[in-house]
Amino acid sequence: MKDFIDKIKDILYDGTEYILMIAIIAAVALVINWRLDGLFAMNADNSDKQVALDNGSIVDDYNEYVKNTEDETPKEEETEDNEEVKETENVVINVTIPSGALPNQIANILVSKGLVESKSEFIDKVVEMGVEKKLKSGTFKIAKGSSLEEIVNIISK
Amino acid sequence: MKNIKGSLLLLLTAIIWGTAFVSQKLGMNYIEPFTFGASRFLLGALTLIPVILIFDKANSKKKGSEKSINSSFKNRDLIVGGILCGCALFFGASFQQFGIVHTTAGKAGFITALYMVLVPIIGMFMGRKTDLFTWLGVVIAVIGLYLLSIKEGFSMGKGDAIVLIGTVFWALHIIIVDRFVNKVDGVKLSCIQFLTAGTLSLIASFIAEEPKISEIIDCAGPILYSAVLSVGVAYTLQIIGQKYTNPTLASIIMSLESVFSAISGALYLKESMLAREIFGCILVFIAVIIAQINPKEIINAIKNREKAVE
Repeated sequence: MKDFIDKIKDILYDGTEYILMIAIIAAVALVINWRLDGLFAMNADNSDKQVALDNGSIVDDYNEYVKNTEDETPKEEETEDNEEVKETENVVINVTIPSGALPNQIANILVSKGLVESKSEFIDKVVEMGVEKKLKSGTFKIAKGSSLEEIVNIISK
Repeated sequence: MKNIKGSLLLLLTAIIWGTAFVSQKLGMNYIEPFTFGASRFLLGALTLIPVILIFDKANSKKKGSEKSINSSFKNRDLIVGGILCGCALFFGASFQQFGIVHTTAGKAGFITALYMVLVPIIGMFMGRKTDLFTWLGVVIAVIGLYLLSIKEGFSMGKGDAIVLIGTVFWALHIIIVDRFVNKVDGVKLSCIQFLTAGTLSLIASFIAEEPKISEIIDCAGPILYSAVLSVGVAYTLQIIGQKYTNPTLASIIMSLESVFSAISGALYLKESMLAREIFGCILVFIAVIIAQINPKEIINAIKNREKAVE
C-alpha cells in the first residue's frame, strides 16, 4: 500500500511537469491563433513595400492593386471574347522576389499582387513541375491573368 | 499469429518512415531546414508524452506495486543517454534535411539506409568483431552507392553527399541508443532525445535562419506528418512490433523504409529514376539486408529446427 501511494506520488510529480508543458503549448497555440491575421498582414505589407520601392510610392502601388482587383476581374469576364488579349497585355505587374525566398514566400508575394488565387495552388504547381530549386530571385514582369504554368515558367526561367 | 501481427506493425512503421521523406522534402518549400527540424522534433517529443503515460500505466499494472528503476525521469543514464542520442539525432537529421533539398526523396531514403551497413564498421573501431557478411555488405553497398549517386567525371551530387554525411551520424545514433536502451525506458529515452534535438535545432534556426511563425503554420501539413506520425506513432508501433518479432526480421522489415521512400517519392512527387539508379537502389538494399544477417543466429535456428524434428 505504501509503495502504491509512492507510485501515485511519482505519477503526480511527473504529471505536473506534463501539465505545465501542455499548458505552455496551449498558451502559445492560443496566442498564435489570436495573432495569426496580424502575422499574415505583416508579411503581405513587407512584400508590397519591396515591390513598391521599384515602382514609386507605396500608396500608388496599393491603389493600383486595389483598382486592378476590383475593376479588372468583372471587365475581363464581360469582354472575354473581344478584348481578352488587350486586357491581359495592358496590366503588367512587377513582382520582386528577394534572393533565397522559398516557394511559400514567393507564393505569398504572388497572392498579395493578385496574380495567384491561393498559395497552395502555386506550391502544388511548382512541386508538380519539379522546379522547387529553380525559382529565381529578381524583378519579373508578369501579365495579369497569366496561367499558373506561365507564372512558374517566368520565375524559373 | 502474434508474429504476423508484429511484422505487420513493423511494416506500417516502415511505410510511415519511408513516406516521411516526402513530407521532409515538401516542407522545404515553406521553411528552412533547422526551423523544420525544430518544429518537427519538439512536436514529436510532445506526442510521445501520452504514449509514456499509457506505457507507464500498463507497466505499473503488470508489475503491481514493484518499484522499477526506470519509473521516473530522475535517472542519470536516461538524461545522459537521451542528450547524447539527441545530439547524434540533431546532426543526422540536419544533414539529411539540408541534403534532401538538393536530391530526391527516394535517393535520400536509400542513402540513409546505408547506416545499417555503417554500424558494424563503426562498431569495429570500438572493438567489436566483424564477420565476412559485414564486408560483403560493405562492398555491395559501395557499388550500389556508386551507381546511385556518382555522376560523370566521378563527382557526387551535392545533396547526395550531404545526406551521406548525415548517414554517419545516424549510425552513431544507433550505437549510442544500443548502449543505453537496455538500461532505461525506450520511449522516455526517445522523448528526451527528441527534446534535445529539437532544442539544438531551435538554437541553430535562430542563428542561421529567420523562423517566422506564420511560415511554420503554412508548413503545418508536412510538419504534423513527420512529427506526429513519423516520430510519435511510428516509434510506438516499432516498440510494440519488435516485442513480437525476432530482431533480425524486425530490422529487415524496417529497412523497407528506403523502398517506401522511393515508391512514395514516385507517387507524390513524380520522381523518376534512371535504370542505373534503380540498380544502385537494389544493390544498396541487398547490402543492408546482408548486414542484418547474423550467421550464428541462422545456424542456431537451423539446429533448433533439426532438434525439433528429431
